[in-house]
Amino acid sequence: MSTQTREQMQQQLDQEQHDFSDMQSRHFSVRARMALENEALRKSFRGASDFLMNKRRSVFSDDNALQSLRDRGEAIRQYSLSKLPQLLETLEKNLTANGIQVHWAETATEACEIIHGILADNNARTVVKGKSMVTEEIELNHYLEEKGIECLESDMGEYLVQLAGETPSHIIMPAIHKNTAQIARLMHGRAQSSSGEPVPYTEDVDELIGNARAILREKFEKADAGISGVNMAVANTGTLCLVENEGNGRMTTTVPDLHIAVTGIEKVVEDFSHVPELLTLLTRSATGQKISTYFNMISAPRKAGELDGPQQVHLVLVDNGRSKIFSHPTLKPTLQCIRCGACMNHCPVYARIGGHAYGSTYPGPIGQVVTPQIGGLEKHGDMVSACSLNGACGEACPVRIPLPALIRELRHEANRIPTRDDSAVSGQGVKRSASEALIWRGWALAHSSPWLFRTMMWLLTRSRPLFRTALVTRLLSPWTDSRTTPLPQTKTLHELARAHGVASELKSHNETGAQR
Amino acid sequence: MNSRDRILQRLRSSADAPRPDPLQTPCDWPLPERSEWLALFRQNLSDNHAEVIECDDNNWPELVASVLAEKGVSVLRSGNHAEGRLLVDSVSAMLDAACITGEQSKETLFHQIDAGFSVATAGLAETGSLVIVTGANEPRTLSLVPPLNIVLLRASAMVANFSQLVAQGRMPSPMPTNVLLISGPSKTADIQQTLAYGAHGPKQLVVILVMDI
Repeated sequence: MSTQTREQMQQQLDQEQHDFSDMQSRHFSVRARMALENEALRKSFRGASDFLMNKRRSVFSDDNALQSLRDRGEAIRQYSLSKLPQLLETLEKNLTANGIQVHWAETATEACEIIHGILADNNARTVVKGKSMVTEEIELNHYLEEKGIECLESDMGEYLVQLAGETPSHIIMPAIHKNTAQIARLMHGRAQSSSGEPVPYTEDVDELIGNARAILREKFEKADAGISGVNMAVANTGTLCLVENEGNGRMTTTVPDLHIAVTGIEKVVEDFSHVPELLTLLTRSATGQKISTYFNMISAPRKAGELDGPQQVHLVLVDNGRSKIFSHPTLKPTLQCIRCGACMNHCPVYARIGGHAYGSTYPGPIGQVVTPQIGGLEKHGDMVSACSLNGACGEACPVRIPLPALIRELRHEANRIPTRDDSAVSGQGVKRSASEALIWRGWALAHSSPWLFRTMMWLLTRSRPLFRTALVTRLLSPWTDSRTTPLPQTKTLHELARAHGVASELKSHNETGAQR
Repeated sequence: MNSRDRILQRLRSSADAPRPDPLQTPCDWPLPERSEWLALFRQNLSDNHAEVIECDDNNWPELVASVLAEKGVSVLRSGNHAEGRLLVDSVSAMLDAACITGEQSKETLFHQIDAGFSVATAGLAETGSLVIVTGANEPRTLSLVPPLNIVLLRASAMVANFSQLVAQGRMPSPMPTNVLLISGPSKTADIQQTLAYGAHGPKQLVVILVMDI
């Protein structure tokens, strides 16, 4: 039992929500520091990352089979993207023939307007939502609330996050940043049955889920419309595929009379034969499951004689910057993503700072790649620096997106002299500074001129005592604030090598060769 | 020009040369051996918290009846198929209400039905999945809303995995309104990675595996 009263819990929840909004309004570096100082948060993310990495490993026990499946996944995604315009047209044709209405949105605002228009045409006032990252991306809930439409998240994690007045911190496990005790307080403090009764306080996970289930079932039963995402859309058959464990996705797409599916334009595949391997890569990489509890394939609204299912199904295809990513010569593989979240589970930076520090819908490595391309480097240029280029994300990615290379490319975009290409990322060159450019010019010069390099190294080794002075410490403070001050060796590597009797690099190379 | 045309035009202006058929890329993902299919199917389902009951073509309605009695089911609904009609006939005497489902209100669906009975058209060994083709005679909500879902599968309808099902042309064509793969009762791990069953859908899944081979 908790020692707090419900009022005290509510006060604490209000304070936490206020802290959350406050954190989100800060600069990335401040958010990251705040996250690092929050021990409970770090514990939640460390625990979740270890759990998900181990689960994934357990379903990919044969490395050869895994690598081979990743090759296949990459080939399927690249093939689909190479035919993207044709596949979208085929998808539209087949969906329309099946009775599903297709809408196209160039921007987030246009997508929200289209969805609101469909709801308004049908007089829909209450909406239940299945899990969908693209609707987070376009900030649909906010838009609909302003129009007076209640939009309730029904994925357990999303529901809890919405109840807390926060945003998801992980694309697969939205409430990963909260522990059970925090969720117990949240449910008791804020959740209400339809009669307005608070739910009893409990820290038992089965009971907590049972309480949320009871509240949400009532909403499913009464809702005017359901809004869902899409994991894959199959062009040849006109089918929308949804992956989930909870059943809320099926509820959302089956029980209300109106279903609106929303997807990014990149999620289309040509044929059903391309689906099974992407599905197995997705669930195994995301949560270490051989398959999710439900794989829901929707090809039409309710037909004559059928007893259930929505009377109307709509698909909203959202561009919101994707066609621009498509045109970029090196950043295009961004669109291969199947949104499994394995890159964030394996990222040592994400495990330490958590999802909210990124301040974007998509956190972690894929977020660092997608977000600046959609929202611009002006606003999101800092997050590309939150990477040690250790390569773990690239190795975990089930469709072999070269994430470290893409992050490097975006750093280059942010620092280069702006080109005026159509494909240039918005905010190109925004991080460029004259002093940094000068330092790199000097670095390049020193490394291409042997005498300059040797002189510099000699000077550095001889100035070793200077590194203990306050002046140098201050100069190096961006690095040394959280690290020990590096000390040069007393002699250069060349001097040490000569002392060991290595006459020249060329000779030493020959000697090694002869020993073999 | 509207949004659709502008999006497509931008995509077309930077489309690559078409790539080769991705299914030609070699894939060494192993297919389970036929001799292991049944054991693997059962193992996967029980790992996912479902019960699997083996029976034969004659005794399965009796076995379902004992499951219903054991779980205290008093109201059962089934889709309108031969198996459902047979089951309803054999259990209607023991239950308060067992019938083939017809038009029903959401109120009834959400509050008055203890169990739904469905028939799977195929089983996937590698993942322990049931393929359910819904339609006029197999309502979508029966495997979703009632707290208990009982699904009958004939062992002869087993295939290695989803890829094989598709490759053998065994997905329905044209695609019906809704096809499902179900691999366990509804579940969630959204609270601190702790698994809880009965998130939004059925809390229990019982698979009646008819050994017809």
